[in-house]
Amino acid sequence: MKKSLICISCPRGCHLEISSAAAGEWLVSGNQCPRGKQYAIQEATDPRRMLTAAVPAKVDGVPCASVRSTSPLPVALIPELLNTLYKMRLDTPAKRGDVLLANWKDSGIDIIFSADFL
Amino acid sequence: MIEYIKRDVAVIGAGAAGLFAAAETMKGGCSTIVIDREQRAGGILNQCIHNGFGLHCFKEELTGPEFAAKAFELARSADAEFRFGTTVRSIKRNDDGTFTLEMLSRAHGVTLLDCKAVIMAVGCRERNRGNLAVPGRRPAGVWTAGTAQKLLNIEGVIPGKSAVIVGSGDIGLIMARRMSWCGVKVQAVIEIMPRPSGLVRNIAQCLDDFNIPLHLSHQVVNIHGTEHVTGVDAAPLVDGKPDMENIKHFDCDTILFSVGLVPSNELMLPLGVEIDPNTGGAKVDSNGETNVPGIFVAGNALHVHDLVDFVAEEAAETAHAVVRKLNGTAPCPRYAANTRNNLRYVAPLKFASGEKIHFRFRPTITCEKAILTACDAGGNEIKRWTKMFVCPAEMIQIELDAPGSDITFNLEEVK
Repeated sequence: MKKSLICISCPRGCHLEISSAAAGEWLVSGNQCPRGKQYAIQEATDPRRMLTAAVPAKVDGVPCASVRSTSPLPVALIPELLNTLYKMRLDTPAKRGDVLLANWKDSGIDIIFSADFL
Repeated sequence: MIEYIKRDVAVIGAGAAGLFAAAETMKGGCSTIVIDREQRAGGILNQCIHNGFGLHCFKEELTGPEFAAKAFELARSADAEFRFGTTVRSIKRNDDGTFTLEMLSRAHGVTLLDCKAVIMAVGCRERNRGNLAVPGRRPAGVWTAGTAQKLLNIEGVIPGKSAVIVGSGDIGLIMARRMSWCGVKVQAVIEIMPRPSGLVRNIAQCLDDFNIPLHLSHQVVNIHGTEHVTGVDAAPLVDGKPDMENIKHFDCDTILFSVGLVPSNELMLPLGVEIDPNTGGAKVDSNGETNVPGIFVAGNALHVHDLVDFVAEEAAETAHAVVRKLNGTAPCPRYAANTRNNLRYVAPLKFASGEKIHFRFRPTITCEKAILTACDAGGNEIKRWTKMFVCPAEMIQIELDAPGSDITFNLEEVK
């Protein structure tokens, strides 16, 4: 199986190709630095993305709060997380960096406030 | 009642450029007041809730609001003074070379501020549908990408259910992802140029992740809808003209324009500040000063940057020059910087010799490897830089020990 993808590690955006050599071994080409290889393998085995969102609030004059994941999340966990976030109606003050959701789906990744709320 | 106040330096705009500039003029011993029409610091960073900011400045990857908070803290801990919810209506140059700013606010009414120097850190504006002269009806539902971003991220309002994005700049791409994550069906991105104007990695993570098609070499030829947008037509370009036989129609209720940014100049123009047609911003020297002594410009108000970190760095450098100017120790920039091939502009356009100076460029070519050279007035090469991966979406910045001669910069692809 051969897969082509674009590296998102830096602005250069190398066109990578990855194929499995043996169990747990990968052949990566097109990368111009070690980060490209790392990204390709990560993308082939466990694709992840940083998640940022605006969560609705239940406060006059403050429609929402901005949040982010503490590190890139497995892509498969994102849709349910977004649904959960959009159903919330925040009304308790929080500081930048405070945890909104701890250890989402046992991923070890928290969702934190990226700005002071209220 | 008119309030009269006096400070050494007025910084207009409390975004990244204004905050970094104010921190540095305060550290240099100049009393500084930062004025912003919004009620809080951060400017456009507050609506950029995505990550990717701060790697150079703060050595960590931050979201826009996080970068804004850290920059505000820098300015505040340097004791800069802030006036929020305040609009500067005009800048008047006095006979003694000082300035009087007329400003309006709910809290203070009319304020006249006397200062010795003004740093314009007012950012830029988005080009919109009118700038492109897009034909079709004039229904509701047509936004600039930045307005839609503010609606979504600050006001918490989703602008529609189904959208088409015009222009493949990074803001448009970021908005494609943002809207997709909000349940909006993004039908397509339409780009008039044969290649995307945003970074490839943003194509990958903002379009490919959501299976959003990118139609290159396509032009919007019609917008449908009476009260609200109902659809948009795009035609492929053949020999630079839209091929009306092969129109693609998209049903949608929202159209976002992400078609470039232009520095904001309105406040400076009445002072006679000269504008560089290549950047759309003021012409400045290596002090960041315009042809009107005492008027300085930094950040996106000067030329549009792609990284906020470079905005911050440039603003801090300009602030240092302002401090030296007010102390009477600033060098006199007398030599000219020019560009020859494959560079859309250089800033600054004039420089002082014997200084370490950052020159910033926007290339017009895309290539894997290029050589940038600096030649003196006699055509002799002073220095050369090898640049890996050059493209218009990325600003080039170099540092040079400035010679006592005019310089011409040239960029050539290495095959």
